[in-house]
Amino acid sequence: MARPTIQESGTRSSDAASAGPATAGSTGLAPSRNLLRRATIALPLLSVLIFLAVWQIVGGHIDPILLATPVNVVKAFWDLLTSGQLGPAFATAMGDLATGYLLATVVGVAIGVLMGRSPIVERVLNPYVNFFQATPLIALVPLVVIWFGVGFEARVTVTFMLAVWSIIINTATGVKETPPALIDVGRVYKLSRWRVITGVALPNAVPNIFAGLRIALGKALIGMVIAQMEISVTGLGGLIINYGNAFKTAYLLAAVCTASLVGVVAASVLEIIRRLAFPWTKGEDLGRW
Amino acid sequence: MTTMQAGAAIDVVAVEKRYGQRRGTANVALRDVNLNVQSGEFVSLVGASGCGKTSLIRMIGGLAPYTAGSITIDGSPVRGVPQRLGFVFQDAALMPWRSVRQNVAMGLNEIAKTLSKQEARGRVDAQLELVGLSQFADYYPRQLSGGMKQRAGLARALVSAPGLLLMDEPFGALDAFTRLRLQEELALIVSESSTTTVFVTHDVDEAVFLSDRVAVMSASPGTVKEIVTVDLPRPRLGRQGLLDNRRAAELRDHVLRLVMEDQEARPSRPA
Ligand SMILES: Nc1ncnc2c1ncn2[C@@H]1O[C@H](COP(=O)(O)OP(=O)(O)OP(=O)(O)O)[C@@H](O)[C@H]1O
Ligand SMILES: [Mg+2]
Repeated sequence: MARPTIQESGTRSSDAASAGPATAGSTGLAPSRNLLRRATIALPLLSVLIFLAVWQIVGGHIDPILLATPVNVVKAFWDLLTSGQLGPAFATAMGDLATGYLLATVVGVAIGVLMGRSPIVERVLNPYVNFFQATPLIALVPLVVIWFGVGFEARVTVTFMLAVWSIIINTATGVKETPPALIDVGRVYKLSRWRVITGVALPNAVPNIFAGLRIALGKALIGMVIAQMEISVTGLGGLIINYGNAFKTAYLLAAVCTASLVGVVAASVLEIIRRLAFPWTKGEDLGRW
Repeated sequence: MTTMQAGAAIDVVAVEKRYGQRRGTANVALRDVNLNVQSGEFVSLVGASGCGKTSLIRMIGGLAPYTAGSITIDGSPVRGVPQRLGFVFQDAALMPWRSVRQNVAMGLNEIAKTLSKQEARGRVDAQLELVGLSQFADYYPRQLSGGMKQRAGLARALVSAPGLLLMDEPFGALDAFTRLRLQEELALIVSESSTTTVFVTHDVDEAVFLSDRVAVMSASPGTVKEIVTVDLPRPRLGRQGLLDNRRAAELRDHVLRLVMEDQEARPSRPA
């Protein structure tokens, strides 16, 4: 019988590399594509450089309390690093974020699966999910302090509380949207009820779960920084608020940039996990510069 | 390939299927359906869209309950999914997160305990070979063409050497050439096995080419209105052979007329 040809899967080359034996290699790119590829690296870089230059020039003419220049921010960053303030603050921030976020992931996925599989659970929990999703949860920080004090537990709670809802909602959507035909396949080939959940509904939800995890990461970051600013005055949030109160704008911005860095690194880790653990999911261009 | 067990014998007696009973306005999809399929036989279900072909084949496969009558397989009533069943779905219904090999291996779930790892792997490989997918065993479904997906779905259904093979418009979404090729492959595979096959299709040519008998269904409410025996000699391994075969043309016209007259009659029927 004639061997059918492979259809291009339309993913980026980095994904296709893991695809299989017959995929086209990256050799023989047309010159125009090569140019395009270079432009995709050069343009964002150029954009950032111009932005920093403009900032440097404008910042040089403004009161340093209002706006620090990039050079001064870098100096402040170096100073924070060498004076031993940044390391512990970074560690505290990562600890709070990782604990709250991982907790939110576990709880969010579990509740999401339950809601997605059981219409009863969905109806029971929907009012709460909708309510908390719509509530500006930061307003609950004083209550969290009353319940959990001003330490690690309170900060983790705030981080968790902000992150968990997007994970629940996205997981439930992915599980609920499992194609009925796939459930039928599971039944025809005698999967147990449990295996239908873990082997069909849950993998079906993986792309949604990762979409939820990305949204949740941003929210967790906000929760973590605010909790450190408002509850404990520690970690990166603590640096931000202390240097803000001292009108040391360069130091404040250095701490803010470090918090952004945490976010970027965490998002990249998430993307790497997705590619390594779930190579069958389609690559998304989020996370690319 | 494996020891041949007899194909299942199906008996559908006075079956009725209603949808939406709770809201009062029960929609009778099927009424008084009678059909028996003998062991090893290939029977097609054809009929206008909405006449209940999918409903019937899902009930035979234990995926949906019926509201009256009885369906028995080898004499025992269908309760849940019967044993040694292969089911081919319209859009292949492969798990996107499993490679082709892993998808096909799902077909062995039921008998996995009786097989060693090597035996299971050997059977999956042999089945992949049979449908021409050996080179693509480690591909994910999204990297396959429509025809290849359908081949994988077929391999998953056949790998356990099922006693009963149910297929719901398996080639409906394929282009004409791929469809012809897969029809020939299916004819060959089924002729070499002892499985009983129930095959839903809209394509009358396909039904005549593949089947021992064609059950023509009419709609509202759906029922089997005539069963046409396809008395063409076997093996019928080439589709071309049927193009200029007079008997095949007669059968096709007859089945087509039965389907068409039903479709024309429908609008004038009182609700
Ligand atoms: N889940 C359902 N709930 C309510 N009604 C249904 C359901 N599934 C099917 N029906 C109804 O049952 C009738 C038969 O549907 P079915 O899908 O079995 O037809 P079919 O012959 O397979 O059609 P097609 O050829 O278009 O696939 C239709 O009138 C349809 O509206
Ligand atoms: Mg149908």
